[in-house]
Amino acid sequence: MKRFKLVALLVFCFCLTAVSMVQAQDAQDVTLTAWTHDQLYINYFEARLPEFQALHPEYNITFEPTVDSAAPTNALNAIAAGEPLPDLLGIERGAFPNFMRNGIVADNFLDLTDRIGDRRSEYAEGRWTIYSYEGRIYAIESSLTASVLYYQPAIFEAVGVEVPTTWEQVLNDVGPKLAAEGHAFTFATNDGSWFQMYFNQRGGQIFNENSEFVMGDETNRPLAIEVATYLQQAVQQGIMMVVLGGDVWSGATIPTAYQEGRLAGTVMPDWWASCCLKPGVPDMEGQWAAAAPPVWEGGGFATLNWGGTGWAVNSKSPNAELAWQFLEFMYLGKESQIARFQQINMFPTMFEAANDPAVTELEDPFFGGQKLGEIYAELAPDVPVWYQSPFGSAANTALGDNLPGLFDGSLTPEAFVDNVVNATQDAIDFGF
Amino acid sequence: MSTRDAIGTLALPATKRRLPRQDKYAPYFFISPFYILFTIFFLFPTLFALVLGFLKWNSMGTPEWFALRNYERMFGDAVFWQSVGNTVFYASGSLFVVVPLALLEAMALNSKKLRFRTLWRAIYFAPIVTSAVAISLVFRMFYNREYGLLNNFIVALGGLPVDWLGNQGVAKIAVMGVVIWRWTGLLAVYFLAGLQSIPEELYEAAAIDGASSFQRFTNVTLPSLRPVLLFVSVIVLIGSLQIFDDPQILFGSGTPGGPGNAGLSIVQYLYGRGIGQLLFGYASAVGLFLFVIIFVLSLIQFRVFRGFEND
Repeated sequence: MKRFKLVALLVFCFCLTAVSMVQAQDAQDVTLTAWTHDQLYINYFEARLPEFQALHPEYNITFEPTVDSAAPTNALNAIAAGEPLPDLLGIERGAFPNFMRNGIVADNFLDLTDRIGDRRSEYAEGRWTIYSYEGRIYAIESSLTASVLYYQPAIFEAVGVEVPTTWEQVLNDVGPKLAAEGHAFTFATNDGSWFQMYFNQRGGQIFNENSEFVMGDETNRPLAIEVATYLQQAVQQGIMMVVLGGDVWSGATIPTAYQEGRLAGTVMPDWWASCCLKPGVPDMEGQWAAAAPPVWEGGGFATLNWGGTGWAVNSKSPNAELAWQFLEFMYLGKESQIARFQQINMFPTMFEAANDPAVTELEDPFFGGQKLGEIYAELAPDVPVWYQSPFGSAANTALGDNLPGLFDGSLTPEAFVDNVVNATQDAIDFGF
Repeated sequence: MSTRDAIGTLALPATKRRLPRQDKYAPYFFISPFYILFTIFFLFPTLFALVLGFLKWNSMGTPEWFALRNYERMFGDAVFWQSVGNTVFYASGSLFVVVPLALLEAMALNSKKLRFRTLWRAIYFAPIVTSAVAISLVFRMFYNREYGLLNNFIVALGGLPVDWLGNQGVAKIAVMGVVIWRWTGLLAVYFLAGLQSIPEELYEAAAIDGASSFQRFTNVTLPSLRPVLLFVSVIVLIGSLQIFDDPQILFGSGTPGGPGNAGLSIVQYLYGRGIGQLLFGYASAVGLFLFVIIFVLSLIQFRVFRGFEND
């Protein structure tokens, strides 16, 4: 009897140990938080979360996104207040300069440079530099942001013009013919980043790779004057229709202009189709086409680019490693790049994905079944490089302040450029 | 306290009686919530902003002593002075257009000859209960150069369309249009209350003395409305000098100051430098400048109206 009790006790202890071991192998509950200004990214992340979960059975992952138009500003406020940041933060391109001040980005977010490693060369370089600080990468871009010419073929045919291949053709031939019939080729707006889009395509830079202000130097100032001269002439000849900054992103001005033919086309990045063109004029499906944008005869890049959102990982989060793996899964690699394009029309930044038939053969009914991927794939290797600086906001403000004067002719192109250069240099010199 | 002690206390003269502890501190207890909140949400931030105006700080790390450089920068910035000029325009327009319009409106609403008075009062008060954002968004469509209702009306009358929000010459007028539409009704309500408190006998006496309508207005109505006028002019001045949401939403997020900053207000300038460029020390200096201006102008207003009373 004694022996039986001893054996029973041993068996009981063994069972207890086994149970505890099994419990230790249960999945760990983890919540990944993310802040962004754009619901599209959340749609993509949530759609692919089950795949990521399947790769990590050791975790029971809950994804908690927050969509707020002021997400980057809220993040800066949280840093200032000592409050925790989300595991993942979507930083809009225009907001990144503020994170470069005093090394905020380096103090709070993971340096992804070594983690990306050799894969860097597989992607458009311009989309790495845009979220770089002191040569290190802190966020991964969501989209190529290469621009194409979205246009209404019926208007071009009615006026009897071909799609132009150079900006000079636009100014001297196609544009005037369209304007004579009441059609603008594209729109102009008083946003500094809009001007920079054209300036960068021409080969100019406002800041260099060391974040130094170079717009006024002997290389960039002539280019800036050339671009400013062009834009002024285009606006004053009715080739570019002026739309105020706020009306570009909301309101009926542009959709109505499309429907009435006042705007025959638009030169804008890939995301414009999903954020603004298709939602703005859904009843115009099939009446649009796309083409490579005009280039500058004097040289530059094959396309223009504007905007973008880089996703960064909170380095102080206890989930930093898992958040990095999440981001890596969602954004790097051919499969993810293609999936992102298919689901939210953010064109791949990876060359191999950009040339994959899944991207290039995708027919878009809004553009009459045209394969837009083919156009983007051709442009991907020649996307301009966009260098950022902590004083990017000052430069953008100076540009926006002076563009109306350029448009209405109260400022000569030279005065426009000098005003911008002086205002930005003043802000830098004063130590802000 | 024992019964004997209590009786002994009551036997003392009232001046020598000691108040129980809760009676002594009760008044302070009841007024403390206000002063605690006042200290936390007004006094401390104001003093902090005063000090911050002399520092260079972007909300991270240790502030750096900057002496008067923020103020030098401010007074040397052409955009700042442009915002000051714009704000003076808004304040002047509010004081010399909105206030008189509100008074005329109140007099009309107070008229015995007006029918459907309640309906008219509701219509004029409606803008007050409408979201400021909604108002500005609708006005942005109203002012649209291509498709706005205002330009359609102007063109229908044979005129040329005006670029209300894109032309530097008329951008401020566009903002004033919103201000007039939004605030005239509320101010009219204040004046209406004042008008209704004026004794009818004063008008009857003036009429008997042969006073014309204008003389009754200047010698009875205006003097009787002096307290209301002072109140309205002070709140209008303070509010108009701090104007922000109307131009900010009207001109959009891309260029909140309007074309060439033609509509930029001081608070917009402060917001752009503080939140947009993380220049918190600089923005505090601008805020302090605005505080001083409002304080001084308010004092001048009180002195002027007190002078009228003495007259």
